[in-house]
Amino acid sequence: MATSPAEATGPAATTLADSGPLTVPSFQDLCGLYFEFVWKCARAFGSKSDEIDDVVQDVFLVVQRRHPDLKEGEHARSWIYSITRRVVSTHRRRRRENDARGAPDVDSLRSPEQSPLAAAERQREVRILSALLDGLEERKREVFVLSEILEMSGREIAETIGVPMNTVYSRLRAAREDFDAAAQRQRKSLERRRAL
Amino acid sequence: MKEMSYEACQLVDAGREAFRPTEADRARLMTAITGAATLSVGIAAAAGAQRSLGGLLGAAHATRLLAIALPLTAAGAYFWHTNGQSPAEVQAPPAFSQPAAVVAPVRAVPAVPEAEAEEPSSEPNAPVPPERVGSSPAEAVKPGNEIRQEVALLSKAQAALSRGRPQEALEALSEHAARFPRGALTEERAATRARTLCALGRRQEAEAELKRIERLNPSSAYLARARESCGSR
Repeated sequence: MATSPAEATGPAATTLADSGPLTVPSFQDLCGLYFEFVWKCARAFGSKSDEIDDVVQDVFLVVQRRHPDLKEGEHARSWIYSITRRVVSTHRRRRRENDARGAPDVDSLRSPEQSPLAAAERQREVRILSALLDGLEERKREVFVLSEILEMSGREIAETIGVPMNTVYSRLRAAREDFDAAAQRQRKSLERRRAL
Repeated sequence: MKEMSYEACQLVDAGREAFRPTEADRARLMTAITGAATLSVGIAAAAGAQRSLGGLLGAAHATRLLAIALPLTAAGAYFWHTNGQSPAEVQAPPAFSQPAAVVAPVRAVPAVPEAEAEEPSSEPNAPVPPERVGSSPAEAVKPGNEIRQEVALLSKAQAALSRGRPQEALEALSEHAARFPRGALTEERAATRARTLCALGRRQEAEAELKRIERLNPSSAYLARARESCGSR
């Protein structure tokens, strides 16, 4: 595939990757083209910052092993997406078991390159976002994440998850309503606590 | 479609920023992932070459080299690459300025079958088999170990099958099925099992396994390969 990894870092790149001739990309091409996609998906579907390296590497480990299974004409993004969801789900299951044993939430330890105040505020927002995403029904979360966080178009989402465009849009509408309502409930709850 | 509130949009913006990998993230992981794949291919090619050289070097020598090379699939190569035991051509990952708490270490993958790991090598230039990880109770429950263990078990089965030990392969596959009934590599397991059953002469069971794969994924590439290996249509 002619697209270099450097060109394939945003949502536009995933379009480029999947709208060209549907030949089977090499493993190295897949790594370059879908690294960011896999990372963002994993984070948005619940992988914490302290496990994201493991999750991304596990996804590409499975991609490498199953590469012969990727057929000409098949959408690589859709194939990688399903692998990513499965790997994230496995990690989350194990994480829940660990959390039940009292493991700390290491996500809160992340130190971005911002002022301490801005970093703390951003961490708070990300924790709220993750909690609200966890609260969405799974199918709504899926289209919400792909549309709002990964900024994919309706057509791209339809291709990736294998449902008609109308279904994508109806799920997205419902997901936005649910997310918005939850965000406003969260804000009111915060205001009440600050008023006390 | 109805616009979301300011609060909701702000949270989404935070997610877009926070869930994006940095250049350092990309460099660190891409080096590990693609380096491991390159090394894996090299090792597989080396294994093939050693088979060809068997006649020249003598069976015992060739077998010893194969015992080192065969189990080192992608996962094994991964370990070498990330733990400083790699050959010279493997590049060191770039340095980072992020604090230790941010950077999850590029982690090791246990892939060397126990039998091979225990077998001492007298080959002077042979790579040192990596120390097994994930064997302690704490490691066993660490998130991520599941897939690495899946890969290790399947590698063990495939290596055994390649060495003409189908019974040993079957045991590894049964262990995989018992531990990971809904694992990420179930289709690969089924195909390897079909090939193993063929090697054992258990044709009827092999056919049943092939039919099961076909039912689940009629266009599976593993299916075609397993059929070819079994000589069935």
